[in-house]
Parts: sequence; structure tokens; C-alpha cells
Amino acid sequence: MSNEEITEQYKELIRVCAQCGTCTASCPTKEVSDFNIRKLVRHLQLELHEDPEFLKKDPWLCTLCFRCKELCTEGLEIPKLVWALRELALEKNAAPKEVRELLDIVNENKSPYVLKGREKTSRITPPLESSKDPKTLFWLGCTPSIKAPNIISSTAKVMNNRGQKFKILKDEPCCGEPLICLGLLDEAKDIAKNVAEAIKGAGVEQVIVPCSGCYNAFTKLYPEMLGVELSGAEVLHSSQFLEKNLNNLKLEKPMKVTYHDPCTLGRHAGIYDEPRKILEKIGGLELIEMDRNREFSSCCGGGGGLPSLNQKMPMEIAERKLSREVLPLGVDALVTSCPMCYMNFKFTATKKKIPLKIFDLSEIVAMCVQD
Amino acid sequence: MKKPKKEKIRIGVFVCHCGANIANTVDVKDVVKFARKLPDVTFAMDHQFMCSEDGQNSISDAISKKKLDRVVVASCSPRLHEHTFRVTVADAGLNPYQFEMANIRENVSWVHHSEPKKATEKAKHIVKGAVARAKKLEAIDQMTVPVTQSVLVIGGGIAGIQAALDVADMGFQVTLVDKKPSIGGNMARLVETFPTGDCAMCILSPKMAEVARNPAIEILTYSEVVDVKGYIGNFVVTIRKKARYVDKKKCVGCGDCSEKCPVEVENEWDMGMGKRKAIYLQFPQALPRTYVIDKKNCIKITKNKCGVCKKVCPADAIDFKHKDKDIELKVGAIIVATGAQEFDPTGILEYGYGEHEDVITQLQLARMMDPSGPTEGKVIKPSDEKIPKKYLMIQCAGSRDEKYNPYCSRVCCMSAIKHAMMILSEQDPDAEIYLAYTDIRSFGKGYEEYYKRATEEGVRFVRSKIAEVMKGSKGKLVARLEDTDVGEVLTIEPDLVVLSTGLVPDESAENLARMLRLEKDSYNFLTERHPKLAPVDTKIDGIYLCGCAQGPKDIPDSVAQARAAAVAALKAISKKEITMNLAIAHVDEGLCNQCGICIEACPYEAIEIEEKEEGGIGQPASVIEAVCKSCGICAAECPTGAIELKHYTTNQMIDQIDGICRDLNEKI
Repeated sequence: MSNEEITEQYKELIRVCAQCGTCTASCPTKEVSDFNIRKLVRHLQLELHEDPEFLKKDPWLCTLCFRCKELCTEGLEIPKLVWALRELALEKNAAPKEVRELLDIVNENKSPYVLKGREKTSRITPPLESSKDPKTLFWLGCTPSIKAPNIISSTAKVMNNRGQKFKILKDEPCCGEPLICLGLLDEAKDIAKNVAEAIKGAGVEQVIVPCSGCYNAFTKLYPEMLGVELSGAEVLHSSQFLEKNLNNLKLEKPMKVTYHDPCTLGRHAGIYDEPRKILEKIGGLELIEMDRNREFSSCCGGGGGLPSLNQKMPMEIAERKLSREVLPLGVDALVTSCPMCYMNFKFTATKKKIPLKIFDLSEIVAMCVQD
Repeated sequence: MKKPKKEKIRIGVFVCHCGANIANTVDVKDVVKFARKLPDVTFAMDHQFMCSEDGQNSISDAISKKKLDRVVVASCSPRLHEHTFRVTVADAGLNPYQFEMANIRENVSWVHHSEPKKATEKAKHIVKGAVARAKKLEAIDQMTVPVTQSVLVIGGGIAGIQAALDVADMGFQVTLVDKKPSIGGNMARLVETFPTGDCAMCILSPKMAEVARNPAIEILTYSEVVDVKGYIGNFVVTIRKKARYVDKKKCVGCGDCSEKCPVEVENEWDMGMGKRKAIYLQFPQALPRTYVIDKKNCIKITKNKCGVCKKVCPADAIDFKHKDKDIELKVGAIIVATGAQEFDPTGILEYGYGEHEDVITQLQLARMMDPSGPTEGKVIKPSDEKIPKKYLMIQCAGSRDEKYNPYCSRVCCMSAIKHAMMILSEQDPDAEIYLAYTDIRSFGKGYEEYYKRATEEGVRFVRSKIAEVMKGSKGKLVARLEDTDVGEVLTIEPDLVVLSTGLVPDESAENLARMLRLEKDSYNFLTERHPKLAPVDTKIDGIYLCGCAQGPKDIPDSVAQARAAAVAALKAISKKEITMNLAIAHVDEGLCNQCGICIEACPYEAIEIEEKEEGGIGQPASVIEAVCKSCGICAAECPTGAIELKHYTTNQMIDQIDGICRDLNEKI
């Protein structure tokens, strides 16, 4: 996006912002760095945003959690401005080198992770089998299948238990969400078109997606940012599927948990109720809400492409959330429904020795059903 | 028999230059030349300023010398000078409705200044249309109606009190109605006032006493307006006097009843900070000083138990048989002063009001600082009754916020500053007070100096908006904010959070607006007729506004507006009768089929149809002349064409359109 396009498209936001600082005080990155999202708008108000030093650093520290938008008195979508500035930085060759590197990885591996010739599904046990003539596609997603295969096997276990037939795509591509987050919209658009073709070609009625990133891409980012519509099949996040298929769920060992709203699933896609309904229906499970929840939930730090650019910050943000908001609740575990949040929390809890278990929603449900 | 010869119509056309406004674009002389040739035009001239004294004199002269019976002035918009010229022609002996205005400024010169030739053509078309219409104009009479020389003031806050006093002092009867048991309104809750620090009650109670003493003012407390009919000079108002269960004449205000009453409920006067009994006095200085029984909570009334108040009352003032009573009142004018109430911030989840006990509003803080309030003047933390050391005041809580109230409530900055200074001077000189704001609005006289003093006295102003107030791990409140002056995020652990919420219209305003047919803005504040030139008038003649009912304002502005409303009301009732315009809707009785569409359509309830007797023939619709505002909606809605608006008849309009649309040389 060119400079002129930004100033034209975000004219109102830039003029209306009163620089009150609500956004900065609610920002997860601000807690662990000197990033100040209010100053991002200020740079645009004063037309200082073309400074390469600014473009190189500031737009890349936002996790696109959109919490600031919820609290802004004008309801300004400041993270959208972040997106535009990322595009501008790319255009002016001021983006961090990791951004183009990620594009190369995605092009080579059909995934944002380096696979070195392995199959995307190689870590999933037991291996998944497509059933005959199903009306449902199980879209795996790169992060769940490569980095958190437990999410895939748990979801598959519940589907099998409920008699839900499904098939999987051979050579499932990356959905392109990481590229969209980093402002590589043209490149992502090509990918999105291919994904739309592939899903249409599968000839199914519904697509079940265990990754909130892919789900957000399919339902919001594709149509709104890339102008690509998925046609022919209804897209369901796995929590929506699970919520419709709940009967006699009971945990063997009682457990107190809290639920973390992933930004992509909550503030982006508007799904707050389904995961809670599932947790509330499980016998032996007690759900304790954090002080900040639903629209006001705080980010884990793992969104907006931040982990691709900075490995330390997402963990520091997650550590703060776990120790400040979750530990005082006295719960045994934190449940979430996004593989990025799951990974980030799990890694942080292990590394920082925080006495909390981290589960994906599908894992909790899988615990309640027999093989 | 020979028909009497129709008298020839004699029209005068007067074209205005409006200095350069019209003449720089339109060839005025050419328009005059054109007008002279139009049929029935006996005279035409131009003038630099038709509205000037000289211009008006030339119209009067022409009327008498040329024996004109119709006048057309081609100048500006009728909104500006129609009235001026109607008076001119009336003074010269014509009927004011035998005058027509052609707008060649707003409709021609101002919008076509780059095309003078075409503009002149258009001006001619408009003048031709006006002449065509002028031929059809008829004389319309005026009527006079008698006036009830008294005023109803709705709302007994400081605005209503002031308006009532001013009207009464001019020698007219006033009825002051308040829905609460006492007059006084919100000001009685405020403890102190900014920027002078006057004790609110000390300046309010003398005014209340003055109202009580004034023989021309009747106070009706615990009463509500339930119906309003009629029009300027002749309103008929129904007022419901709610059952008080305590005889006003007998009650001596001793309080024995309240002391013995076993029922305790939340005290709404103290914004829920304290308790009161089911029989109570609204506040110690209440006027009238008559106790009242809250029938929802009294167990004698609800369950027929107890009745101890009646037993202990030394004056035998309590009577459980009281019932609500409707009374009818005739008044000539109405002043609406229903005021405002504090915005309820419960919906702003990030501030945790209603969730954390130690998050309160400024009015709740004020109630605590009242020596006769729930904590006898001591500020405490509601959660543990300890003395707070660290305060955080959050400005614009729900104000200037697109999600709640986008407007500025004008009083919250100063009331927060007032409370901050009261805490430092009366509660705890060592208190730490953070005041988070985005802009300080210190617009009034002495307000900026007041703000400056607060900074000097150590109130910590932080330019920031609070992102959230949460319970921290140690159970203390934690607020996160960015000090935008230094760009750093601060974490404050306040003992008490005080939300400076804005003002919203009193809950009674919506219903009352419907009853009085007044307009509201999108926030339900009542709308004045013109924001600058008619700030206390409403679209209904005889009904006026003042105080916070019209919009948030401070005490000086409320009082000033109240006095203005009083003058406006006095203007309406000071004469024994008023003249009214009769250029109104008129029903052709033969064409009316009593369908009733006009009744639905009329925004002023000015049309009625008498109910049909069984088997009989219905009466045609009739217009209540004094109520009709000549809007014409009924005429447009009437399916049979039975209703016409006088002075805007179909014939007149068709001829005018015809005149405008025909070629300039075609005959009209």
C-alpha cells in the first residue's frame, strides 16, 4: 500500500484520534518493550511515518490482537493501520529481512515451517485416514499438524467417536494467514485462490478447521483483505463442531480450568460462546473466568506474526499473562482453542517452570470420550 | 341579471439589489422591465435594499399612490424577511396575506454567480410565478383567543425554582411540580459548588424557602404531569398527586416515625451509598418538610403488618388510606425543567463499576462528603470502610465516547477538580489524587483559575485515558494507563476509583416529550427551536425549556436559562388575549369522508372527528384553529382532497408552478 493510499484510506482514523493513550495502556507488547501504538498514529498525524527507521521497527511489534480497538473511545481500528504500514515498509524495502525469508519458506514448504522433505502429517499418530465419500473436509492447518499434532489427533478422536466421517486433502497447502499478517497481501492472494480451488475441488459440504488462524483467514481475512470468497462449503471452527456434538461428557479426574480467548477466534471472528458452552457441559470440570475475558481478553503474545520476528517477546507476554492473570485464580489448567496460543503458553510454562497445564479444547473433549 | 364587473387586480413588483448580493449576478433593471409587462402588474421598481426603511417606505407609497391590492417582493428567502414585508403591507392598509415573496437571492444569485445571463432568466421565471400566485391570494383574517395568565413549571431543581420565582415576582400565578417528595433537585446533592466553593445547600435553601413563602407559587411535590392538552394561552394539564400517606398540614417533621420504622432500604438520594427507612424525609432540608411513605417497601401497605409509625406519630399525621389523586390545571404557558441524572457506568466493563466496590461515581463521592450524608462527611472505601489514601479519578467515563455518550457533559471536569480539592482540604491533606483526563474543559468564569489552583495544591493531572481497572493479585485495584505526556504506561494501585460520568436526561423526559409533543435530540435531551436565536423556545408555542433538560450545563447556565425561559413564558401570558394566524388547514365538509388519516398524520393533534353515534352519520373532520401550525401534512395526506391549507391552496400552487415553468413570453 502506497503512502498516498494509507493517508487517504485512514484519513478519518488519523484525524479523529485524540491521542488519549487507552490503546497503549491496553497493549500487550507495550508491557515488554518500548513499542507505543499511540505513537504510530501520531507519526501519521505529523506525517513522520515514512522514516525508514520507524518503518523498520514499530509496525512489526503489534500482535494484531485488536484489544485496543475494543477499548478505544472512538472504536478506531488502529491495528488496520499497522497492517497498512507493514505493506508500506515492504514497498519501501524497510521491512525486517525475516519477512521475505518467511515468504520463501512458505513457497518452498507450502507451510511456514521448514519441513526438510518430510510430510506435513508425519507427526500425527495414529495416522489419519480419509473415509469413503464423506461430506466433510478436515482441514488440518500447518501449526496444528506440524507443531501441535495432539490437537489433530484429539479432534480426529472425537470425530471418530461421534461417527463423523471426513477426508483430508493430499498435500494440503498453507492458508497464507502468516503472510497476510505480515502485509504480504499480493503473495497471500495467490495462495488464497489456490486454497479456494482446492476446497471447492474437494466437493464437500462442510470444512472443519482446528486452527483459529486458518479459520479467521477463511472467514474474515480472505473476503475482507484479499477479496477472495470460499464457496461451496460451510467453514466451521472445531469448537463449533464440538459444541454441536456434546453428550455425556465427563472427566475422570475433576479439574479447575480457565479459558483463554484467542484473539483470532474471539475479537477477530467473534466466537466466544461455543468454547465456554463446551467447557460448562463437561462433568467434573469447573470453569473459572479471568478478570479480563471475552472482548477484553489479553493477548498471549503469539499473534500478528510477532513470533516470526522476535522469539523473546511472545514468551515474555505469555509469562506475564500466566503469572498475573491465571495463577491467582488457583486453576489446574489453562484451556485455549488456537494452536499459536497453545504453543506459546505451553512452551512458556515449561521453560519458566510455571505450574500450569496447557490444553487445547479438543484435548479436553478427547479425554472424555473412549477410543 | 347582469354580472357585476370583476374589479381589476393591481399588483406591484419590487425587486431588491440586496447591495451587490443580487445585483452583481442578476440584471435587476431587466427583471423590473420584464415584470412591468406582466398582466395585472400596475407598477414595478427596484431598490438597493428593499428591507431598509426607505425601501419599505417606497412599498407603502406605491400601495397608496398606485392603489395596489397585491405586492410581490423579489429579494431573499421568506425565512428572512417575509414577516418584515407583511408588516409593511399591513401598515399600508392591505391584508398581510396579499403579499408574495420571490426568492432571487438564495435560489438564484448565490447559486448561479458564474452565469449571470441564465441567472437573470431564472429570476424572471421566479418573479412570473410569484405574480401568477399573487393573483389568487386571498385576504385572511386573524383571530384572538383569551389567555389563562398562569404558568406551570415542571421540575423543581434550581432551574425550575428560579423560573418559578421570576414568573411569580412579575405578579403571575405559578404551579411548580416535582415528582420527588421535595423540591431542590440535583443541586441539593452536591455539597459544594465550583469554582467558588460555596456550600450548595447554603445557597439553594434560601431559594427554596423563597418559593415556599411566595403566595403566587403553588408547590406540588411527589406529583407528576400525566396529560397535557390545549395550546398557547390555554393548556389543560392533568397532574397526578401521588399518595404520600402523611398529611402535609399535620406533619411537624419530627422524625419519630422514621426512627421507629423497621424497614431499611437503599437510599436512592445518596446514590445507594446509605440506607433509609420506608417512611422518610428526602433530605434534612427537604421542602415541604413532610415525611413520605414509600409504598413499595412499607410492610403496612404491602402486607398489612406493622403500622408503628402511625402509633408513634405525635401529630396523628399518618393516614394509610391516602390514594393517588388526579387534578386538572389550566395554564397559559409551560416551562420544562426536568433536569438530568448521572450516567450509569455499569456497562463500561473495563472500569469494573458494579463489580468492584471501591469503584464509585463522583456523585457517590459527593454524598459521602455531605456532613448529613451516609458517612457523615467522611470518605471511606465501601469495601472495608477504611480511609482511602490513593485516589484515581477517571474523566469522561462514558462521555466523549462513541460507544456511550459522544457528547461532553460540561460539568464533570470541574466537579472532579472540586472533589479533589475538597479531599485535600477537608479529608486528608496527604492524599494522593491522580486525575486522568484527555482534555480539561475549564470554559466558565473563574474555571481556568480553579483548575490552576488544583495543580498548585498537588492534584496529579495525568493526560491519559484509563485502559482498565482490575483486581490485582493482592486483591487491590490496579489501573493501567499511559501518561501520554511522557509516553510511559503507569500502573496505579488506587484505594478508591472515582468515575466522572456525564449527564443524561432525566428518565421522565422521554415520556414528557411525547405528552408535550416536543422534539428530542438523539440523546433524548429536549430540543430548542433554534440553537442560537430561540434557545429556550420549543417548536410548540407556549412551551419553554431550561436547565439540563435541554442539555448538560452547570448551575450558572441553568439559572441564566431559567430566567430567559421565565421571560419567554411571561411574554406569552402577560396580555389577556393573543392574536393568532388563521392561514391554517381548512376542511371542505362536503368532501370529507371521516377516514381519520389526517388525525394520524397531524403532529400537533390539531384535527378531530366527533365519534359517530350508532346508526348515525359521522361528522366531518374539524381543525382546532389555535393548535394548527400550518405545516400542511394533513392536506398532503387527505385522500379526497378535502383539506386545504389556506394561503397554500392547490389553485395558488398550480398557478405559481405554471408561471415558473412557462416560457417567459407565454401568457399566464
